[in-house]
Amino acid sequence: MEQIAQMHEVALPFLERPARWATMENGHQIFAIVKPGSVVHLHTVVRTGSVNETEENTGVSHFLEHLMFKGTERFPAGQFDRMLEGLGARVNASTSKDFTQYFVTLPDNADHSHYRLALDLHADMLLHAALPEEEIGPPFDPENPRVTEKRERMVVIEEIKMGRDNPWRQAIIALNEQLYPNHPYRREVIGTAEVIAGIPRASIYNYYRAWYQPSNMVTIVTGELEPERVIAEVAEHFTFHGVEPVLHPGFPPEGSPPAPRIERLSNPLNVGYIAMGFLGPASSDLRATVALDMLSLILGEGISSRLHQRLLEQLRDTPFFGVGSTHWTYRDSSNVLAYGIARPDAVEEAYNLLQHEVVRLQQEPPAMREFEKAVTRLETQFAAQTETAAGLSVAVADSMARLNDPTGYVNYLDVLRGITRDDLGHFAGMYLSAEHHCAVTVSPGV
Amino acid sequence: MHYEMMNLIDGMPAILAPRVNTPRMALAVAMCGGVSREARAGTAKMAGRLLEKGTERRSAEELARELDERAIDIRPLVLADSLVLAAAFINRELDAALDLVEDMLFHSTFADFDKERDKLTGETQAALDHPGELAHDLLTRTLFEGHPYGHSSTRVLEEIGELQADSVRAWYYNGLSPDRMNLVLVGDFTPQEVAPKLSAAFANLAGREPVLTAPPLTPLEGDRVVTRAHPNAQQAQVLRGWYAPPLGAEEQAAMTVMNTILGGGGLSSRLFVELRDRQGLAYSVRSQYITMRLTGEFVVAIGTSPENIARARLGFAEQIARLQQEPITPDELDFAHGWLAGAFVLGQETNSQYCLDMAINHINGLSPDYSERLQRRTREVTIPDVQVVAQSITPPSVTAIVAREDALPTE
Repeated sequence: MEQIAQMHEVALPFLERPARWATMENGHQIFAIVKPGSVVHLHTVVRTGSVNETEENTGVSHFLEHLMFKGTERFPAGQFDRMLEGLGARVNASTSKDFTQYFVTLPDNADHSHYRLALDLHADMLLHAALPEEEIGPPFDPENPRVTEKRERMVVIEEIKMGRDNPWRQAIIALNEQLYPNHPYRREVIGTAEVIAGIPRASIYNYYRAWYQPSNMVTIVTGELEPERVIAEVAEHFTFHGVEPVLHPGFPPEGSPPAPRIERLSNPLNVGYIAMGFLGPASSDLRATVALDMLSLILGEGISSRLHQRLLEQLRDTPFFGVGSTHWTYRDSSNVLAYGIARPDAVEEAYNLLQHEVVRLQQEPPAMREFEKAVTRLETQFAAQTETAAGLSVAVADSMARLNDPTGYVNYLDVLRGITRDDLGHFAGMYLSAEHHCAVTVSPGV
Repeated sequence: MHYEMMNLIDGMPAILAPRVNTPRMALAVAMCGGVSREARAGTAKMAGRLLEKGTERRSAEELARELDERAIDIRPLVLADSLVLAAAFINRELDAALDLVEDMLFHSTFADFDKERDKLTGETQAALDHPGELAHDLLTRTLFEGHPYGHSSTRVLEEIGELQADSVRAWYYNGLSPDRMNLVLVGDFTPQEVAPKLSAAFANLAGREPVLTAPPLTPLEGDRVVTRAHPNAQQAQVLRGWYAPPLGAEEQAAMTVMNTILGGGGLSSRLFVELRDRQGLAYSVRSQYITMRLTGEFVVAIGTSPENIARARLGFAEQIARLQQEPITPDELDFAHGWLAGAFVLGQETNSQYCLDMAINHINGLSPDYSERLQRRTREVTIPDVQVVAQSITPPSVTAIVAREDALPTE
């Protein structure tokens, strides 16, 4: 069994007992979080996502995530799902630009035997995925409707089509291309039908071997379990062979656009959609990240936010049906998104109003009430994450995946409480400038 | 699960469930008076929205500010048979949350009616830009034609222009009576500590004569196929729905087990394995069993490429026929038992989930812990029981298909 190279105790907010964070000699990191309750959550995050893809294999991280559920030598396709779901577990996975994660959430039982079985199956899936040809299906021409042997390739292509039928998703895809013209973040996580229909198994397998290495993986177990024993059990099940070092390519940070980039689309829709984006900091800049969380909240999150009150409630003859904002954090460069749903005949007017209101954050920095509200609401959102074993694990996994340590989670509240109103004015000026925004509008039309 | 019931005022029950060491409390006030009691589509939705638009003591903006500044989340939920005001907040805000809920429930001014109607119209139109939502709308309005359960999004758009502020207000206040309400609180408290606060908050609640009742449901006859074109849709949305046993029915447990095996049981259900894994027809394929007071609704649904519409419909028919003609296996029954046990535990993990579940069960005339009892009953369901409920999936039914015009079937 792999030996522990380092072990730390980590105090997590709202939890009585500290978590244990172990780094094994092969680089695999294990987090054991003690959370009282009747639910156990198992979570492994792999530090690879669409950021590590090229035009030739775009979508492979997500396709691989699907194929990881297609069996191992010990358990053929379908058995993993059936055994765990039959114990009441929910199994799932997700792929993002920076990382891919796999989860099992299940009710605990008296002797924890269900959790141990889940751990055995979870580790086996991650380390010994068979990626069988018959489950992937042969390559095919996605334009040829007569092809019948499609299997998992076609499942992913159906998922791509499902996204194409979502107007918001279309707007966000176009906005990403504007925001990140040079960085691989411009590509869609899900990839293209052409690549998914044709990518050979060998390419998928090589990607799997290259990135699913111990030094690139973090396993988190959250539940009412003894942490030392959890770490020993995880280490025992995660026995890696053929260990290789993982080299993460560095990408130059995307520069702010020298002038606004605006794309106007039209589609046969009932209403108009406006998405406006501003490039933000790398996740490693926790102060700027938290400040943009606060600015987004003040700008457009909640019914007392500026966008909601000024553009939706107080504006006479408002063109908007809905408005909001959010801050998407990515490892290399986040973005703040302001958005609106508008009357079909007033999309351009709505875009101008939205732009004006975002930029007002610089001329009219947050008032004390807004500032205090942002602190209180983010503190409460943080507390709400700890209500479920899964929510807590996801939050810790996010920090481990982007920063390679838990500081993004552990230090969040301290950083939040250390930010001043002047800081918010400074960060609004730095990131939310009218001259450097990108926007996509989708107007109803043919 | 442990809870206590107390009589708050004039027979209005309060259900209190302490859960120690939890950072946020959940509070729900439920009243009879969901969609099923409305005469015009959109009445219940408008009433729910207008609860957020200010009270006699607080303007809409002041209300919004206070909620956000205290991080108190209060949402009106409009359901088929009830309207629920659900709140979640940090423990220290209990007094403020009670004050706000009381104010919104009893002193709302129903201001900004026209503006709120415009917003609801726009949001509904935006939702219908999604082909899946449009297909669901088509199924609901056809299956429950002539009944408020059929007040789908497009029905709301058709009737919302005729709604008046006074009629919405009158509809809402009809449900605001102690004999048609409940209150549920879950979190880190002792019942002795909170009981006086709850009694004080609801001290002025007066009884009202019941006026509005849900009309009886007249089922359709035969099988219908309804279609709608959606320009440029990449996928076809195919749904088929049947009437099913209502909430609280004897057959609900067996139906729940059958649904789990067919298409409600995650990655292992028959529809998922056959239509997605083996045939690659879809990313999203499922069955759903939805229960209301007067009926249930059993639905199978898939999003697939337009050329697969016939194959998907055949796949649904084959899988349902298989359930009707062949007994499920003991392994499948064990699987369903395990899956449903997990659904129960995971579905009550947070205080908000547990609180809402108890409030809805109770307002529908069931025990607050009905979900736990139902889960226990599912363990007693036998293989023949599943076959019997599967055989009840018979006409009438509605098939709703939304796709590009050239892909729609011409039946």
